[in-house]
Amino acid sequence: MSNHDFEGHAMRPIRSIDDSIDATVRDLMHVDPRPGLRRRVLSTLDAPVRKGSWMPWLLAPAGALAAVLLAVALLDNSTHAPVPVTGVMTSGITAPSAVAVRRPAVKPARTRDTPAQSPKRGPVATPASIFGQRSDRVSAASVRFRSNEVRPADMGEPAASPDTAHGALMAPSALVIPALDIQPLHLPALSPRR
Amino acid sequence: MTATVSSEVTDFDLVRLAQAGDADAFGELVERNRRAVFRAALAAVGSAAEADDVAQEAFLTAWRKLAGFRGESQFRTWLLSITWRKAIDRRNTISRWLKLAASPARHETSDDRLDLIERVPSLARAQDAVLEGNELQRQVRTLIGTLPRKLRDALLLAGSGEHTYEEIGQMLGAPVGTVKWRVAEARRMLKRKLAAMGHGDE
Repeated sequence: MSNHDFEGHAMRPIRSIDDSIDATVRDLMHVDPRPGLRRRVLSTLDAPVRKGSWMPWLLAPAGALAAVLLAVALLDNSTHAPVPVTGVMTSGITAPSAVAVRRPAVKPARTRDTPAQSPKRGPVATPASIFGQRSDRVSAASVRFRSNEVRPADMGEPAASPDTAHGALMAPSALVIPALDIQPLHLPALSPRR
Repeated sequence: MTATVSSEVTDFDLVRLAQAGDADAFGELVERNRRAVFRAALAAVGSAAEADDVAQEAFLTAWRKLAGFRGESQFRTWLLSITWRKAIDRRNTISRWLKLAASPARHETSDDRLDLIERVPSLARAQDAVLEGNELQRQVRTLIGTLPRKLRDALLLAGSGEHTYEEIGQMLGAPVGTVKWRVAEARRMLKRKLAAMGHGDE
């Protein structure tokens, strides 16, 4: 039947590496099936086709779907949980010092009290267009302190230095916002040239 | 169909009878091809028990697909292709072959002992030489388990004594020349490794 180099080694002594390889392969492969294979095969010919159960195929996606739903529910809960105010300036005015604030390099450790997501902030006031369509929001650039008013730096707030801005966020003691006199913004240097 | 089938009846005739629903004819096909099917499965899965299951599954699949067999190739080649696919599926599922091939101590059955006696040409052969040969064969068996699968499959199928290179090529999906190269390369690789372990040819 076959045409290989492996034949004829059965009765030869193992003299070389080649002989040893042949003998080992022969040992591994010259095995006969258990007796009764024909009978076993014939006995199963009329057996109905065994179809795989649909349960394992259904359980895997169902489990994955449940995990996703659970994760979404947990995220949703954590988003709507009451958020304690921790060192975040909640003033409606974006002070110049707050604009220059850099986030700390090391994130504070999360505790059970802190939410997984950062708290939502209100809309950030942006400088109004100097070309018209002024909104009613107060721009930080348009806030002028009068000489008799108390500046934030005088109230114990640090200056707008990046090095000290973080300290201002960490100690947001009672913030007193002085009365503001909002002047229309007029910057001749930036006026469009004609 | 009688239980005893003349050897003059070709596989083709038996296939036609089996396609008509003759289970005995198919039984004769099983009998004629059982060893080739079993050893092909054995080359892939490495365990006689697993190979037995694979062979049974392969015959069952062949019976169910027999209506689609149009005789464009030999029944044996078609059957071996089914067997090889089943065996590879099984191997991929259980991945047992490496462990078995690499384990130096196989269960010594009475058949193993008989094989050992067969290889000894004379009772006067020195016992230490037998032990040395056994040790070498254990190492070869371990090294066969470390061969790349393509080379190992070709080597074991070629060494099964049941398959021609053409049949092996059909099973592996490779030309005959490639199969022969793989067998030779497997042997070269084994010899290199054995030489590195201090075994040289006499």
